[in-house]
Amino acid sequence: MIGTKGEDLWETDSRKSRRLLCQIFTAEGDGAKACRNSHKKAVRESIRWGEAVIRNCCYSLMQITAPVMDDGKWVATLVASPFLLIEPSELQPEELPSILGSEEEKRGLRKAIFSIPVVRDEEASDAAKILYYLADQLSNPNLSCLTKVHEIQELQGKIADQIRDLKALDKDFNSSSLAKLSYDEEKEIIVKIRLGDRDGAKEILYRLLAITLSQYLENFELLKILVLELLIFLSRAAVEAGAKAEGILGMKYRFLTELAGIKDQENLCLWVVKVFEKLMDNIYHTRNVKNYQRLKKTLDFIDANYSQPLSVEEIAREVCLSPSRLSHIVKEELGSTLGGYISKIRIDKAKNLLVDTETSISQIALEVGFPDQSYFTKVFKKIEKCTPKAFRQNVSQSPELNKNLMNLPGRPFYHQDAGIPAVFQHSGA
Amino acid sequence: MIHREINPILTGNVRLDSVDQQGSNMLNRLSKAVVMRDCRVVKELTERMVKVGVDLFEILNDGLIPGMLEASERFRRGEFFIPELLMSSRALKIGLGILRPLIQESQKDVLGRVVIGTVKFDLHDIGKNLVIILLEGNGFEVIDLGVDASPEKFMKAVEKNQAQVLAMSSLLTSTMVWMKSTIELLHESGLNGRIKTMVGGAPVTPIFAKNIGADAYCREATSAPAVAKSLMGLK
Repeated sequence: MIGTKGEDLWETDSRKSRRLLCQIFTAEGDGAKACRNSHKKAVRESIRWGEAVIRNCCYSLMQITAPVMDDGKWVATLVASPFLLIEPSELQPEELPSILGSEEEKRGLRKAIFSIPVVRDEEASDAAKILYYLADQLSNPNLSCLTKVHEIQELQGKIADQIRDLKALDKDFNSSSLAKLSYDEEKEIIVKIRLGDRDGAKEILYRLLAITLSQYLENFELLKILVLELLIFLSRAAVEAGAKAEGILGMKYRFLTELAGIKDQENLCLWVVKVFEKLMDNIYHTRNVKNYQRLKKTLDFIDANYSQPLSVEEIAREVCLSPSRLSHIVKEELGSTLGGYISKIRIDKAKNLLVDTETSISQIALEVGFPDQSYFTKVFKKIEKCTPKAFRQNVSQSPELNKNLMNLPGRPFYHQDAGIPAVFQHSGA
Repeated sequence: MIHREINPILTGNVRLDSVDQQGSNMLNRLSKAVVMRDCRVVKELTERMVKVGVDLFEILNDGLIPGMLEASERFRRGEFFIPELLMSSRALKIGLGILRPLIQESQKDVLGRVVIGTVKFDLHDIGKNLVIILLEGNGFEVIDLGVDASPEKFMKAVEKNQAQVLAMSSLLTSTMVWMKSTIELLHESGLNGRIKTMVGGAPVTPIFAKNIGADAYCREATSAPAVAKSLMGLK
């Protein structure tokens, strides 16, 4: 353990016997200073990341550091060093100090290097965890002051990864393709929320944050607005998925005041994820997990087979339930009949085809699984309140509008139907 | 593609225990050695390839760099921990140590001067170090500010060295804003007319680059020389 100025406070007996090499180094000119600097830099990183840090101390010798804190203030550092991650014989000449001394000194150095413990990679990782745990015990009251830091950094890492993926996915990387993507992801997250796939939903939330940050990271005020918009959208989805509306309203009310107190991007992102967790808690504490797994299987099956004629019996066979049990679960969990849900999925797919392709309406009807055009038109009208033809014309007549919407940050063509999949709007269609 | 032709000759000579003997070629094996953190093999293969005249950039671009990228990818997937990653970058460093002086030697004319560094609070320098070697290999004189460079440090270095290009890298979403601060400082001090800026790093996007007023965005290390040249009006 060393103090804030680099002074030794305490050391283990085993280290005393092994610090031969350090003595040789620190005896040399600036050695001691370099040693202190390296500890100091390492502990600074530890505090910044909220974890024990493994890095070089000098040459290829390794060290692990963890901070000891008193009431949020750094008071000492735990250092585990020196150790090697490779056999001393593997060390390359340029990784070793050159001592231009006598043969005897060289022998001494050699002996010192071979006395350093060699640690396997996973042992080093485990040791880092133990050291952090020790530092936590020694700290007053503990290292919980760093927990948030750690959470923030972990989240930032996840978002950075997502941005990297976005870049790999989309060579052009422009606002309009991102807007389209964000629209698709929003549709997806609603389904995940509905299905109780919490981890899946969170993954998409990271992606949505990545899409926003990849465009507006430098503009914090705009970020705040976009994030608020995202949260309102999520809370609406949560209500649709069964969260208590009154509870959510209270949360929405708090959004604004809480948001005002957030001063940087890192805390903003963490806040969103925390609020999201709360929304999820609000939905799921009464939910039946088993039903969700069956429901997910059902919906996946429908999504893969909507272009074929589907019967309740067939789907029930697929998910190993009786037709009446399946109908019951769907009605209970989605608030819609199975037939109504399938129709809605088909109409959603048809809408995409109407907008994105030139395919004839009769052909689209067949492609999305309707037996003929007239039945398709009838169902379409019931759900969309207009005919497929009129829908296509409306969209094509206002290309400017669509284009503008596409270029908006965040949410393109965000109107009621597009944002929330129909399941949540049509109860008992 | 020199390496494919020379490969059969080499495989007969080199004895390598820790990397796959069946590896389709030396570069592939070099990549693997970086991933497997086997410095001895990295050194041996790099030296041998240099000796038989494999293009230096080929060794770098098709051997060392893919190896390091693979190691980072494994880290990301949770298969590698920090120690493994550190040891891979150590292997990379050994390889670079052999190539760098040779690459520097091979360049006579200086096209321009580049100041480079990772931004404030960012200690990730693997990508930046690759960019340095690639720039040097393409005739740039590079002034390396290392890691954790503040806007003031960048500005002073630009002024002092009369550089034409400033290259900044950031590997963290939380440090990217320092790129913006640096460019703003250049504007305030009126240096922006003389200097062109380029930015890069995993979470940096072309949209971000444009929004903060950077002159160019650099998608990956290997495209850095071309980007720097175009900033200087060279082809």
